[in-house]
Amino acid sequence: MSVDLANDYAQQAIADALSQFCAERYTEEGRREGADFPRDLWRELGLLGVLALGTPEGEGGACEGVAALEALGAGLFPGPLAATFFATQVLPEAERARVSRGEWIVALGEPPLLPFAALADCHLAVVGDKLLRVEPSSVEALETLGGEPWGRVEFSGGHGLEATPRAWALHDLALAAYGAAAGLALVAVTAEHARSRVQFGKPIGDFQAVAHPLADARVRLDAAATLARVAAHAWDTDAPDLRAHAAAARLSAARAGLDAAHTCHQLFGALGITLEGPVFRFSRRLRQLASGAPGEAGARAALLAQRGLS
Amino acid sequence: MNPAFSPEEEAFRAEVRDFLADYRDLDAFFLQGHRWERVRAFFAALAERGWLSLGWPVEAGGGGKPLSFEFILWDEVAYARAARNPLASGIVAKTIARHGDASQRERWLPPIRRGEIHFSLAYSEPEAGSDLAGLRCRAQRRGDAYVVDGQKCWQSYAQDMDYLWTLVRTGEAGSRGRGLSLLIVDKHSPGVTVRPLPTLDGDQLNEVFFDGAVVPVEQRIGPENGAWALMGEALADERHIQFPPGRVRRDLEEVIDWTRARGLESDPRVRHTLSELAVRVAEVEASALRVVDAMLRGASGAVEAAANKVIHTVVCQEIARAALDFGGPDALVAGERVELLWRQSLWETIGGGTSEVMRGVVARQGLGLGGRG
Repeated sequence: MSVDLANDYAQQAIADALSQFCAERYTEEGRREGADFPRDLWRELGLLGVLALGTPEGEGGACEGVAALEALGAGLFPGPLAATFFATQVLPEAERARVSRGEWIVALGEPPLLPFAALADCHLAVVGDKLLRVEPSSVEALETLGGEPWGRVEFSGGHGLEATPRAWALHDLALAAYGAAAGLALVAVTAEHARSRVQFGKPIGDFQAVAHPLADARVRLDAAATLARVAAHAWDTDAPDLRAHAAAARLSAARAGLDAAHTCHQLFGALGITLEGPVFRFSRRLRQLASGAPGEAGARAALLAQRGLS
Repeated sequence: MNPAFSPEEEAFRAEVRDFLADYRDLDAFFLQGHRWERVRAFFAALAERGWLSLGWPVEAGGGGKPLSFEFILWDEVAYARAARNPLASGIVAKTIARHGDASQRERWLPPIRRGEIHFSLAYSEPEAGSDLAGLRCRAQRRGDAYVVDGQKCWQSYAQDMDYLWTLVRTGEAGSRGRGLSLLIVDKHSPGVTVRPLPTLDGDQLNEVFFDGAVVPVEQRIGPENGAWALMGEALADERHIQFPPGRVRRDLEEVIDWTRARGLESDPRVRHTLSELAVRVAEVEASALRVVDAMLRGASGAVEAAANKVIHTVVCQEIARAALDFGGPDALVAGERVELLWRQSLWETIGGGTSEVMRGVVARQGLGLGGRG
């Protein structure tokens, strides 16, 4: 079979089911400023099998994971998704099952700041090139720009785990698939605005000053979304440079998502800077994804190594 | 979801790479004008393997291969820097195969397939660049021939080609796209003058003057005043092989080699920039894959190809600019590869449809945004 970037039947079924899940269950009430993390929905996600994708028990690999994450990204579904996929690759079997069933929340980060630290049942600290399972002695709860419940943690010691290239690759491609889809959803919302908002007697999307930046955003996000698919295929086939593929996808989605967010804030005019406007809930998530996730240095190193620069 | 080529396609890629080993020193992807006789021989060698007509319909004497094979061929040729894909076996031949009559197919397709004759596009004019439908070069019917008068501008490779694939106005002035026809003009016929327009990269474009040039009516391809639709189809035929990512992959490799040769590769700022460029090159490859994917599914690929053109050409420039930024004075020395890349990459966002035109396609067809204002 030659190139075919579309979802297959099963992947599309996953995407459709999760789009519906987001629309019906992750409602305005859950999205409001200051809402608690929807732990019940996270558990449901686990029961649906989404968090087990890429594990021996899961009914699908990274390609199915991408289909799922795109739907969750377009719906801005909250939670430590990439961290959870990572954890399923590094934890022992019994703990992996608790994570993939949505019973445990995972905190993965570079201490002292850990995302979801106050809620988490499993804390994974990236220290240099080491990965430690830690038990925090204290957690100071923090809010972040992205509206996520983070924490400043103190711990001593910790139990070493092996962070394999496959684990990082799954983490990075999950970030990419989610982020690219969130960005594309924001571009779609903004394009709708540009088609309907009339100024100077015509829709503002008729002006190249509006249309071209949005076109650029779309072009780059499409590329990032495709890179997530390339990375997922590399992961599923255990390609030798799978980490570099995922790194490219992650870094591409981060940059494309941020650039799109800034473009869309601008194109919405005053609506772009109000809390009730549609942009901020996307842009804060995209900003959070771009710099809140661990492992960027390793991702860049993998990309350079792929090109002979070690 | 499968972003990989099939084993058969990958085997073909390996075969192409083996073949290209003999042509790596040709280095005519840039500066083809300085190496035309060797490029002509290279095209003849491709023809001998049936690769100039790889994707033509079997009934037109072609290989009938899926478009993925053409993509792989020209991607590898671009990576090897051997040459750019020729127009004769692409736009010209595919249009003749589809719209030429039996005698035209018989006359033109075999020599094109054998790599014996070559064409330059003669579309743009001084007053009609991006807005091609406004062109003025006129062809008037006189018995069994057209008499062509007017000027074309910015023709690539016209100095070396045998024929000009010429878009002319045969309808009323102001008839826009409804009054255009396609003529094959023998470059050596009386009344045709080609003059060089030296370009920044050391190569040249050309301007072409027609002064009462006589073109037999049997050298009109497709209906009189019906060229616009043919041109649209011809563009669609070639979307998958325009701007192959191998060129950009090679640009980055050359810049990395150049960086390493000067001991810059351990500088943290250089490394960060190179990692960013590696991401950008991956985006270029993904964008090209999107074009192939769309066309294999039977879609037009118009939006994907416009997107690919924007991202590919911008990244060409980013790579060259980065090398000059961190290369210091060494990068400015005439004849250095990075200096050539900088000069040459400025061409890419203009030729083959400007970035502005391409963003317009994405905005209109991809995002439903109207207007050009």
